[in-house]
Amino acid sequence: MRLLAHNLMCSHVRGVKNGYPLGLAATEVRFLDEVAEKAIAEQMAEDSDASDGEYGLPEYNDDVMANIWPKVVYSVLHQAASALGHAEGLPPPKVAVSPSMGVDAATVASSSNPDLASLTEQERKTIYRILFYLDVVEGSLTCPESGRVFPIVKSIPNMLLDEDEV
Amino acid sequence: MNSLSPSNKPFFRAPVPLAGVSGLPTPRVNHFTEADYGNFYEPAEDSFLLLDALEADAGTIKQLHPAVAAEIGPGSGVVTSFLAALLAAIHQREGPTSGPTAAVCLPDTHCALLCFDINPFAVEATKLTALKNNNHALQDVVLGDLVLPLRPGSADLLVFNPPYVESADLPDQVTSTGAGGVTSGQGVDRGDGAAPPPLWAALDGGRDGGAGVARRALYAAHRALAPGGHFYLLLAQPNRPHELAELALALYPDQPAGPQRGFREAVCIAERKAGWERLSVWRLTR
Repeated sequence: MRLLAHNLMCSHVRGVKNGYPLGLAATEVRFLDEVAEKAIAEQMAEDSDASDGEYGLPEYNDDVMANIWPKVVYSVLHQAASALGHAEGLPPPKVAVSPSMGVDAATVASSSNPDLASLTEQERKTIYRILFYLDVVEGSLTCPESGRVFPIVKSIPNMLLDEDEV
Repeated sequence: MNSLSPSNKPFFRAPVPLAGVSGLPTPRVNHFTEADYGNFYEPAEDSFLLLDALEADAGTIKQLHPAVAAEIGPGSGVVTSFLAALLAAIHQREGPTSGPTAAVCLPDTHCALLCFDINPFAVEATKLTALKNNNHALQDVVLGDLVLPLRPGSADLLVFNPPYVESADLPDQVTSTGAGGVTSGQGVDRGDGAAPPPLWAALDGGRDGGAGVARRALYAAHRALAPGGHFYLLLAQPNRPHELAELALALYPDQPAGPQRGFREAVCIAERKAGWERLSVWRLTR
């Protein structure tokens, strides 16, 4: 589960009003750009016709970042990256979220995100990499209101609820 | 593949194609065996109709310029991998668009992709199909019911090929190679994660002409979508698609007209007769 997915998900346990953001803990993380570069290189090596067209991971792109930015709650991204020990290089959020307090996911807005144009290119690239490529392999998500824990196994979060929780 | 046939139905609206985006290859699924298809749904006519409809409506998708897309119940992952290639084609990514070196990554699609399935076999299959089609660092797969774990109002584009067969019409035993026989007729809601319901859950649309799951999905999709977002939904004739479309327009009849009441628009963009089935693809706009 990438931090982008963490940013977009909330708890839907029955009766929970303030199910966002999900608490995040990890015992294993990885960077998917490194994984992908390796996979693409292996693919190229296997494929004899690939000699003419080198193709690696596309580079950082401001348009892509601008497209996704209104969907992201930056304070939550910053907090999640901090929880994983990867907040270095990220600009501080304008508003801080308390790790233990949830809000109504329906009211969440990205309006307090820093303006992309006000950030340096290096800052934008750092945010981009954390958002799209930092992957939680083993860990857990915790509903801020009910305390329900959702395990993350092999990068797949299990958000399924038991019958008495829906 | 068959061509899309327009009809005179009141809800019908021709899809909006995009010049230069046509004839995209069907994603590879030849890494799966017959045994795998005991655990999740094998791509069939309904899947292919959905792929064709999405491609035929590429102009609409381009105009939407989605930033967050999600597929409900991806099964083998064929639709999600196709959607990735389609989004990349819409954004005119550079580099090969098919063949072994055609890698697609998030910057090519401009769009985050999430896949939600209640079947652990299906989420694994979706990951594998993405990898086999050279999609890298592109989608997140989640074990989850419909799009209920998605933050309300966060999605631009949703796709769902639901189970659409009436429970009573399914054979008593749908055999599953992985987990032995899975018995049907145990009630509609399979999202409990108890006994793995692999293939069975991919077929059983519940009662109500098999539209039970699709009906629940309307509410979940309406909640997850941002205003202006589209929900592509495949339905079969016994689901009574027109009734579902009417429902979609007034999910919360007590609410005044507007986005809180229901979808703004419900149109059928594709129809096809596949054997004894009559299938249609609907575009619901929040």
